[in-house]
Amino acid sequence: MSEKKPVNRNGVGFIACYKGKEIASSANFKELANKTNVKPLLGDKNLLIKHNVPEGLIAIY
Amino acid sequence: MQSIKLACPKTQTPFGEMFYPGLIVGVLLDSGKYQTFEFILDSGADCTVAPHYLAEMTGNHLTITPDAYMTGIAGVEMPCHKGKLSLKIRDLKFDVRCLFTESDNTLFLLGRLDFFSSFKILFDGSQCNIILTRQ
Repeated sequence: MSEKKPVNRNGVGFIACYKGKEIASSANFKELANKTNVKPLLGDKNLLIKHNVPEGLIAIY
Repeated sequence: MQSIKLACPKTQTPFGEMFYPGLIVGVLLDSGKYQTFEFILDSGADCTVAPHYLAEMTGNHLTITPDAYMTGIAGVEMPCHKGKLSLKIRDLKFDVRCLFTESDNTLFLLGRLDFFSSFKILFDGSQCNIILTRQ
């Protein structure tokens, strides 16, 4: 019997990526934007803030 | 007319891998710099929606009491505040009116108001991209 890959449903929230690499995450946008490793980078073209999309869920907005 | 093709990510769902309409959008901050966010392009949303703290970051002075309410799939009314965002997709700049919720857990949704009147929008699910043409 083949084993199913575990599904990551952690944290519907926000992540910050710098040069494509995740550097911080939080369920709360204000908390994320004020993290010590994110705040100084705000406005830097290499910083991307996006949603953390949980795997295996259907999203309806 | 200027057109741009934007590659979109995919997401895993119980139905398998699906096209995810995440758009990379620069938001003009109070500092004068653009911060890049991924917004969900949501044709079902009347207008753009963002978390409360983004209002502070962008210099929007919101009313103390809510000046609008919104509702969604859950049927729950949420108080919110009217504001504006100056946005940039690649080198295309435009403004949208926006609702800021009173929560910092709200996702970034790019809705129809002001955006759909500024661009013709093609969702190409088979190629996983969105094509915007300035009107």
